[in-house]
Amino acid sequence: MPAREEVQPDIGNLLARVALRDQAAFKQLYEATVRCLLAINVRLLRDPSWAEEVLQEAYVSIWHSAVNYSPARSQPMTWLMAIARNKAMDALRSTTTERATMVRPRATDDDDDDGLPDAADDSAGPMERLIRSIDTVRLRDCLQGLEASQRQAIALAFYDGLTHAELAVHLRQPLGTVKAWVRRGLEKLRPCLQR
Amino acid sequence: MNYDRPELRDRLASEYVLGTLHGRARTRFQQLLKDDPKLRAAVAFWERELVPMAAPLSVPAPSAKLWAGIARQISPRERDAPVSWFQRWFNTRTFGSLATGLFIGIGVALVAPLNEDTEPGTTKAQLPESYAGFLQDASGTPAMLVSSRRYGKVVDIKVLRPIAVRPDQVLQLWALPKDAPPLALGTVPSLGKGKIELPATSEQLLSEVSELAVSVAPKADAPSLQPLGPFILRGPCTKFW
Repeated sequence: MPAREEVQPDIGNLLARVALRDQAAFKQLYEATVRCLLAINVRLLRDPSWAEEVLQEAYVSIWHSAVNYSPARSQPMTWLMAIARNKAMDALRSTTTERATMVRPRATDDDDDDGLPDAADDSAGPMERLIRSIDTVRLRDCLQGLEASQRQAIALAFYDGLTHAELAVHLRQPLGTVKAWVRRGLEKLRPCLQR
Repeated sequence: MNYDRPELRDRLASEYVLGTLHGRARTRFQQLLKDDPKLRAAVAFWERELVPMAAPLSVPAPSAKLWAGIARQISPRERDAPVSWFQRWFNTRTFGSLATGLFIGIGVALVAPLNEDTEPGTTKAQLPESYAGFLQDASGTPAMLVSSRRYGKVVDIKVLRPIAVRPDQVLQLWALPKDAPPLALGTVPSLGKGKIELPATSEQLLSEVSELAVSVAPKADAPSLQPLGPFILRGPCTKFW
């Protein structure tokens, strides 16, 4: 447990300063968010050095596009995570890179059987508090409304970056079946999320 | 494919954000995004709803190479690119947390009272000073306020907290232009208020100056043309209007 409460940086404020080319603010933003974004990329890309390479591009993109960030359109952490995920997905989904076409073993972790991570624990560090501040209650509720097969397929695609083909292999189901699970799961989620 | 159907738009957007859009389909979709605001809105919905779920439980530490790589790509030219006057204030730790409006209010309020010591022949109803700089010490505490009217030749000094100087020493004020050596402005007091007469107007001397600084020098008949010691105070020089 840390001896003193560390001040949680205001990510939105830092982003506004980065938009004005404030390099000190950018470094602070990096330090406050890198471990979260790196965790997302490592989970998707498996290879930590590949994850860092891609994350480097993500942060450079953040530096250049902070000026386009609008607090009215999205929460700061969501915006940052989306950029990191998109870069990782671009790397994974590219048919040209050799790395993307390698079969990646699924990492073992402490997930439930349905593949969703457990709710955040009570660690008290600023990074953990920042992560806990991201509200996912409604999403988790809506996911519970899906069938287990749909939920699992969606979680594997989302967290582990499995393609339809990889899902079919992992879940030992025909390709058409897993595609339908993903599609129907997403179709069910939308009205629930819009409530 | 007819991308005008909302269900299709939504399905593609959701699969794009989820990550199941693969290879050429993904690239094609990204191209479409550029020109289709409805598609972008659909993606924005799914990103807003799904991406927060990505927040991880355990977070690894990055290698030192990661920041090094990022910093390298943000070229020095970009770092030193002209920034708005507003941004310069956010750089100082003291004022970093204040809202903009409040901050400008404080800045102008602190600058305006210096007009009390007006030059002879002028009325008290003057425009506020144009150029102002809060000079901070090494701990980030503001120690000196330097300000001047735009077309004036007088720089007003207000010492905010007394500066320790030996009896055989003086404080010198410097203007630090971006790509030129420091410009000597004159000597300043170590407490209370003071004035410096400039050889030209503030506008002529300070419009290209981004920083002001103070150094310590031994008392001498003529001020030195270069700083004789390190800068003990330093701060941005901002043009308000």
